[in-house]
Amino acid sequence: MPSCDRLGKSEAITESREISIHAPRPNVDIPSATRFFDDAREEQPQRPDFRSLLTWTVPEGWSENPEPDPMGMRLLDLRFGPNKEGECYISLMPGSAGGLDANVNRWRTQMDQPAYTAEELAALPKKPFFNREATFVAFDGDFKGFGADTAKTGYRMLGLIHSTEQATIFVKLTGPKELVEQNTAAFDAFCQSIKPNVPRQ
Amino acid sequence: MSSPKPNPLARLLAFLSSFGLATIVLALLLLITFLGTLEQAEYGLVASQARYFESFLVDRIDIGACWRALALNAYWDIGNATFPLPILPGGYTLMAVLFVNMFLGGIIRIRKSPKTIGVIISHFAILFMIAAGAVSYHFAVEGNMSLREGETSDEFLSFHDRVIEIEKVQADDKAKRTALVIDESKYRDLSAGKGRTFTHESLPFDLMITNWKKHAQPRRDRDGSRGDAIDGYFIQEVSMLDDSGGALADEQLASACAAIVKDKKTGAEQKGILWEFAAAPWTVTFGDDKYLISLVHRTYKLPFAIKLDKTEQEKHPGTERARRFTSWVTKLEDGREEKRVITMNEPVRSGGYAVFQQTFDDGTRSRSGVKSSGFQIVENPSDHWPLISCIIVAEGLLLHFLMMLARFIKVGPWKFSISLILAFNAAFALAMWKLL
Repeated sequence: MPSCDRLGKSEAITESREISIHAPRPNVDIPSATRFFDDAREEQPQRPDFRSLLTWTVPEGWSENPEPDPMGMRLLDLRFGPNKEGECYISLMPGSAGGLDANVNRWRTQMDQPAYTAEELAALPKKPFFNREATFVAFDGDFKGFGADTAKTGYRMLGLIHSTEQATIFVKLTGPKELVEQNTAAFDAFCQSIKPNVPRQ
Repeated sequence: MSSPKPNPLARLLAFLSSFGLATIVLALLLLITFLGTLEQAEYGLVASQARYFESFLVDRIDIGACWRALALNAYWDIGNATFPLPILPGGYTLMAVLFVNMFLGGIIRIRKSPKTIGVIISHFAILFMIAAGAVSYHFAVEGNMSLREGETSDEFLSFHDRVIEIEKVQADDKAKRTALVIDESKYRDLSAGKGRTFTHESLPFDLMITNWKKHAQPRRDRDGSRGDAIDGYFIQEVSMLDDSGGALADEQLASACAAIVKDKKTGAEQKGILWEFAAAPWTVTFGDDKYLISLVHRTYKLPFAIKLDKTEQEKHPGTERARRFTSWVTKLEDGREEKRVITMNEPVRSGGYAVFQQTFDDGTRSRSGVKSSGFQIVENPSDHWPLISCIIVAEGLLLHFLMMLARFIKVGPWKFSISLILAFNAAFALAMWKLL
């Protein structure tokens, strides 16, 4: 450090503010490389393959979408149904990814449904997932996914969201209502099959 | 016999209300507007406004920048010539003098008669507009709030004001969170070699700030040769001009500084770099407690919260060009919920704040896949004063010219003018009603 008048000039901090209850939780103990966006550039070649972190069993009749996900956010992108109009994918995001409430209501919006109230969100059912509990949602409505110009009518969405301090995992299924109802058991079985891929010693 | 010499107060009043003073002030306003506009090309809007229009004195004139803005360097390059003396009054001073001049000359000393009533009304309205500018300068707050669909916030960030914040990490997620705030004015003079220590009784450490730079980026000290490196990084100052040589907007500038925390008990030091664009605050640990220190835009609180339910963009038919961004929001205040729509040029106004739709992201730019809206939040007590002032100026001048016309065509000036003004106002009101 350049030499400077170290503690010669001292000033009391006189201002403070209350942080909103809506403000996101701060990220703690983030290394300098991450704070300065330096690790992404440097370490891109060694980035872990997130698919390798999980294992799963693809239900019978379902298949992986050969088209790459344009946003690059889906770890696994499956299709089902006679015309492959049903889709189910797993995505993983760091941290709380905006929080459970925001993500559930974002899905509600995609189904052209009003946002849940805090009470409705608190009352959402849970399902076992990853040896813990995940929030389960199921909505009917007109589905307008990301980037779509028009909504698909008569759709149903199933979703499972599991959040930890480090990451949030989403499993989301959409399709025509009747097709989704036929595949609800397969969705449950698929979710239960998702496990951490722990390397054997 | 010579006439008695006027007393000094009368002479002062005569000077302050004179046409001569008004002419000089208006000429100087023209000059600083010209120079400020030229300098803006290299210094940006905010810096130029601060130097020329919000100051008491213009501290210096960058002749070279003005020269280049006029493209005269194509003929003769004068380099970085600067006139370093504060010889020009700033916009604040000039407007204050103009206010006094117009108040004394245009309201107090003007001959009061039916012939001048319209002019007096117009002068009053111009004074009102100058006052609106002063109120806006001293009390208006502007900033930005960015929300993804489903998110709620009751805070917005200033466009231009920066602060350093210190927050103690709370173990309980539901605990009240507070931050200590240090305004930028208290550390922006701390260039390399200068430092200042900030203290607070609640902190187990003192915080020293040094090596502040207005626009910088932390760079990795690859060969370990930098003496000023902290945790393998040093603060690299970067140009405030874009590729075409124009000044970057103030919002695009990322200030940075070095921070040293010194344990009050042991004197042990921890060093970190604070950077405005950093992905996360700098964490310092004292025993079981952690503190987050960050350099950020100043946060302001709204008296209500906004939840973004849905946002959409409408495109011009057959093109990818945006025509309109619209947000469907829920306004939350005192336990009440109110559904509102914000779209371009149609803000939501509440509690003295106006919330404008400013930007839209369909999830591509943020790479999150989630749509978001950027709202411009404005709190300005004199928000509508310029409009009111313009209407009064128009009414005053209309009255003045109609009365002159009435005298010329030899009809009763009051009856003629008032009836025509009423007719004009009725027609205007009808047109606005139909239009809106």
